[in-house]
Amino acid sequence: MRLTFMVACVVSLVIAFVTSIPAVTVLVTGMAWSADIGSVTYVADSFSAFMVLVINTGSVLAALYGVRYLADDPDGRSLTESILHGTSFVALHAAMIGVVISSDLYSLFYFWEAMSISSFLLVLFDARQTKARTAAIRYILQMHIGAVGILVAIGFVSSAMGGVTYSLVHDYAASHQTWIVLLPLAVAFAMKAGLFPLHSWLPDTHAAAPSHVSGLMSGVMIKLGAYGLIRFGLLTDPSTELGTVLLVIGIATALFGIVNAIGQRDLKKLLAYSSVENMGLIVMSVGMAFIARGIDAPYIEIAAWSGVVLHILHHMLIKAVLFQSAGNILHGTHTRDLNNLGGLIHTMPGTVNLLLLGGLGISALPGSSGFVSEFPMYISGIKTMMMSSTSISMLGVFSVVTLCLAGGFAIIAFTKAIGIGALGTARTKAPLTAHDPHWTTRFPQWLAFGGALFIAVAPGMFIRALSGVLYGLSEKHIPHDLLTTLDTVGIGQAVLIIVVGIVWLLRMLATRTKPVAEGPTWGCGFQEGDARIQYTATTYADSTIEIMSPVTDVSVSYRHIDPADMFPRTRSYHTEEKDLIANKVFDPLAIGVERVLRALAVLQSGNMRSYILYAFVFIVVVVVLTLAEVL
Amino acid sequence: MIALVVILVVALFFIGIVNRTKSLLGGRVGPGLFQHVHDVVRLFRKGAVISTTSSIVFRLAPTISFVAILMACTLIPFGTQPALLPFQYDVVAFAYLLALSRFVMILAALDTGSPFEGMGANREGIYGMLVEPAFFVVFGSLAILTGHTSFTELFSTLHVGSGGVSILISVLAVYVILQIAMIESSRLPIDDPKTHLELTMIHEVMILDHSGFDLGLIMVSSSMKFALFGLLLANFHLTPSAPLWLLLIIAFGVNIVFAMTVGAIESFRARNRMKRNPQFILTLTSVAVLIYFSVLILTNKLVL
Amino acid sequence: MITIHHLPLAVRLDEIPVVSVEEAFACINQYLRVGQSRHVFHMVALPHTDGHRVITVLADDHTHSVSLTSCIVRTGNPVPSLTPSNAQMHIFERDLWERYGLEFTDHPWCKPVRFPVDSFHRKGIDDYPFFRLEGGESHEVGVGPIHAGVIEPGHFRFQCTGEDVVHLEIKLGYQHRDVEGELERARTLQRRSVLAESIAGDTTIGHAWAHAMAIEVLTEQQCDPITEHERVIALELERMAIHVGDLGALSLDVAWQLGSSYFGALRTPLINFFQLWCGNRFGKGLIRPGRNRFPLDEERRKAMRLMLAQFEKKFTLLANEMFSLPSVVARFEGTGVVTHDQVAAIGAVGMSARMSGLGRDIRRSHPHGSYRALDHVSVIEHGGDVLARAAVRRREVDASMRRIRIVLNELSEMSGSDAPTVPSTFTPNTLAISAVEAWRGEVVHVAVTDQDGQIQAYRIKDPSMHNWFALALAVRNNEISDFPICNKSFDLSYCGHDL
Repeated sequence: MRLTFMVACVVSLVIAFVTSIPAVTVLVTGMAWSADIGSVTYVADSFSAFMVLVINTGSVLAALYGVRYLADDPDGRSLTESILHGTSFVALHAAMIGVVISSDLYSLFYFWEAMSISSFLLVLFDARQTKARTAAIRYILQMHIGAVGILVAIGFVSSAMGGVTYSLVHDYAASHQTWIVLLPLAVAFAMKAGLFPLHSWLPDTHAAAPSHVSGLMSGVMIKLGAYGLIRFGLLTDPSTELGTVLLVIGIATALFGIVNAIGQRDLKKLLAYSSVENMGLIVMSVGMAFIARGIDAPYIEIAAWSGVVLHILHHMLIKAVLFQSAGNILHGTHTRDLNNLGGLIHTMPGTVNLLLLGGLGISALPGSSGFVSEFPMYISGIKTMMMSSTSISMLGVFSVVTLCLAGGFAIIAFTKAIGIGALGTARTKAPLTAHDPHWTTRFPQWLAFGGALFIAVAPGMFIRALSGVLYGLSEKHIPHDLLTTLDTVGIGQAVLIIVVGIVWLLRMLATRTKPVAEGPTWGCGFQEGDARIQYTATTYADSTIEIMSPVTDVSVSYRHIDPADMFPRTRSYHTEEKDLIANKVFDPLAIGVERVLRALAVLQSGNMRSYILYAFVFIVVVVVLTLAEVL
Repeated sequence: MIALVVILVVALFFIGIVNRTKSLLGGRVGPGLFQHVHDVVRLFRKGAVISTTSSIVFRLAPTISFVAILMACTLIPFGTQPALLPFQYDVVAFAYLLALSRFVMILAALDTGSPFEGMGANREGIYGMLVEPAFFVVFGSLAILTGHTSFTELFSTLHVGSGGVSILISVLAVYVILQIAMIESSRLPIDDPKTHLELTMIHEVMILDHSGFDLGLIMVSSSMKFALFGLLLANFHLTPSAPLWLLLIIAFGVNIVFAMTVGAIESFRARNRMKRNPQFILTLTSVAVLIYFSVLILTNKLVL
Repeated sequence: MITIHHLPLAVRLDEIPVVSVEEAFACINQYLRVGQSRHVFHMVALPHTDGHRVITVLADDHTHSVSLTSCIVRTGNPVPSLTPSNAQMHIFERDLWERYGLEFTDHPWCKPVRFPVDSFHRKGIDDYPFFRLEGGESHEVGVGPIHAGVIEPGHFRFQCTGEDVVHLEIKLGYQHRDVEGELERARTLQRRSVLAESIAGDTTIGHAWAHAMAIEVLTEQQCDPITEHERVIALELERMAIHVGDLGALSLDVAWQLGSSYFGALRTPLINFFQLWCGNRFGKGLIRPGRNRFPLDEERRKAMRLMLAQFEKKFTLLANEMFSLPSVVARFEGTGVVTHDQVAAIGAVGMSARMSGLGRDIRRSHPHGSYRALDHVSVIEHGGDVLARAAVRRREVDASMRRIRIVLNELSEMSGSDAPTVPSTFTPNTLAISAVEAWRGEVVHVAVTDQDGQIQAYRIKDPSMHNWFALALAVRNNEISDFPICNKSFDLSYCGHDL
């Protein structure tokens, strides 16, 4: 197992190395790279080059982690399984690069499908578990519904223009109704990006996939949905309307995602919903950039694009840290259910430290990369508020309110993930026997965290380095005072971290000679030391879920105590958190479709005479219709 | 720099004035004005009792929380005197620094494994989250009104006396910020620092297991948080033309009035029912939205 | 079953019929089936040759009577429980189970009552079999025995699903001092009286009076009307003081500082009057069997009228403010509702019953002493919530004030006689029952003498015995943050329960 994946890891590293060189060149020189392979042209402009680097970083982090993660895998795997997994991993890496360097819809479709299928195979790693199988099948089904969108677009464009290169798509959009081509494509991209209401595959799939794959999917693959939206949005000369639509979808996705993250008690599902939130923020910012372009507000546009670019980087790195920590916890305790965890900081300090740092980052708190990536989004939001048009100004209010609400919810979600999962006392035996995995598992995590920290203290440097990307996206130069602001924020973050260190040292000095006694946590004198007295993942989320009940779907199975029942018998209390959209929209829809098909199956009686009858009826109908001159 | 000094000085007497107001209204003399300073000094000298359940998070949290508040202090100007570390959109950083302080304190509370502290943590998370939109909408509106996006620039142009139109806005803004200050500082009607019942509190119950130096640090942080909002309120009243000594008098005057208002509110009304708190906080957001629309009308962006 | 129409009563032990267990239980069931006008007064077990003789005392509020029945329960011979059909029996049966090891075949809630370590079954306190919500998704909150406020020790175990409480279970017993045992062993009247006064510190007058009456009927003494009148004043004054203090405590728990300060201040003149009267702010040392140690002379009556006049003005003002302040009323209204049916089922007594429309009041149902002539009208509210309990307190303060004024006027027209001397041996083989409507509700004392005329068993029932369960029901499905005001609105006694 380990050996096969090591090979995959090496291949992935090679791909990364080979593709990063031209990508860096593109970024440095600002000249697009292009190559003809056969009759197909592949192009990488600065944005594609940036995405290639993101894909490479994410894949390498996942590959490095995967080697050790799979070595610790408790289940034995057959050689076929191992080889399939390794091959799929490399295929996914390559396919993702293919997606961003495609320059026509055919190749896009080809790589898009390759990406879906290879990631499907990766998710199927735990196919022995029914849940993983169901999730994987759901995933591949929904991805194909999305892929149909690309096919539809190909149909429209190729029939009208005689080709499907991106420039022809541009011409088609310019000469026809833009939405005809954009809508089907957008369905495909939104499906992949996990945008509300097409996100329902995402949490299940991320939970079912092995952790290195979850990190890769969440950190990189779903970003390609955003890539598609940006790429084709820009191709079709984005309007304020398109921007507004994206902004609204982004807001819905962000808030829906983070509220549902709070409701989850499966650690990986919580992280997955947080990814939904972050995709929402990215798409919201893309919308903001399109709006700004429409109303010709370069400062807002650049700020919004900086937010997008920094957030893609930040989220890729931090989600790798978090999902890999979740993987370590899963291997250590064999559970992802927060209600079974607790007290991990004492048994798995190395893992929990990273979870803590990742949590700070993903909650966008000062001192982290999340703060600097959301900061430009705030800039664009507040600046939009200050625009002269009332409707535009209100869009700014919505985006700012979304950002701060999402930030507030994220604090609840991640204090839950960390506080319930890793702190306090153990709720079951599982966390007590857990221990940190080999340090090499944490190596890619520290690498990712180091990168994130670098972004946190030097955002200006990144924006300068990525000025080509921003220019490619907006065709505008970065305003100087935006850079200064970002520089100040970076310095401020560094100062914050240093001051924390200084105050901590002073505190240590001040308390050095003071006596420190240890005792149990205060329990009002009834010192039982029972884990039952701790808040659980369910009860910690309860109040938020109650306030946010319109967008959450938590079913409670519990027999209420009758008012006349003075001496109640022991009973159990269970909740199940479901996805509102999956549970209330898609599942009934699927059941409905199935029911209709079942009903139609009555026709298939297996009796030859019935079939002859059908043929006869058909002929009669055709004849009648022809006579009636309908046909 | 002046701002930081003012905040530190106000932090010394603020809680004292609140308590004195409350005790006078309750017909008692009450503790001395600087009782809480003595308390902090005493705590700084003491050793600590630490729960065996807790980890480094529990010990580190008061420090991070304190630094976050301290950094927030460096963003507040004093009238036309710039803040220590001003930059564009530092309003965002201000809110997020308070959020950082909240985040680490919540984790520290959960670190003890105590149901009371979990309860406090849970409530703190929700109310902190709900209060943020009001803050951003108010400062966004002020940004529209003044065209500036950092505290320093904003307050160099905006104050109650700066012109007829902005008085209404300033008054409403002062109201919202006062309420935000009460919520952030865990005072009535959201929280009650005096009851000392584990089941009803928010902030106080989160720090139930902290002791010694760390508890002192937490107390300093909450005093500074009060003073921080006090100075924010004072900034609305600092006219640029006035000499420094007058500005100082105004600043301290506003803070004393603020403290007395807090004391009076806490004497004459009861605390909200816990489940009514979200509703109460959202009302604040609607006042903020009112400010926003007033600003739009005033700046002729919204024509009715 | 023997029925007696006046309280306090003394009945010879052999007059109480002894029937089989089944018959006795059927009889009790039949008696209680009549409805809310009837409830259990007490259940007392006396040692018997091969087991225990369980005497059940039942009360009927309509006919102003008390009925007694008894049966022999043999050791090691489990008997069916009455609790499934009458929830109010649970606490008495648990008491018997804990004290004597009587076994019940189907008691649904057979848990320790008042021993930190169950005295008979020797289970540790940590093993207390709390009701649990299984599934690992809810959490528990354990409050006490050490509390944040200055109150007595008790442990409250909440089963929570977030902010909501599914069920509260109350575990008491931290205050157990074996007062009953001390009373049985005491050989002087003085020692007994002092012990009786300290059964529950906030019900000094109530318990002292109940004890005095029990001793008086055992010695066949009659108190003179002045003594009875003075005791009424003392009891009503105690009621006022505690109610005012509790209104202040309720204000504190909803963080209304004005109320908490000024109600607290208003309580002071009331208890200071006790100081003036008998030298103790809680009325200790005032009531002794057969007499009151300190007369309420003309001078003190004048002082009292003056004090009440001043008190009334301020109290009315403050109480009006309290019940019209939206933020306070909003906290009280609909919080901690205990329905009429629940109150009736658990046999709640006193103000805990009257706040939900159940007019259980000894002053009316089983009047004693001067109350017989006073034609008492009970204060009844119907809400069952904290607001109703606060309103009962407020109205009872007013009612007590009126009652005290009437009695004061009557007193000034009466002339006294010498107090009787109470002998230290009592009527032998007798069971005496006395009941007083203290501020919480009925205080019942049962004293049993042996053939030598010495006390062989002394059983105390503080109203809290019944009413703690009402608190548990009040908190069900409420917010956990409302527990303190629910608790304070009942203000039940820990040491009165733990004894």
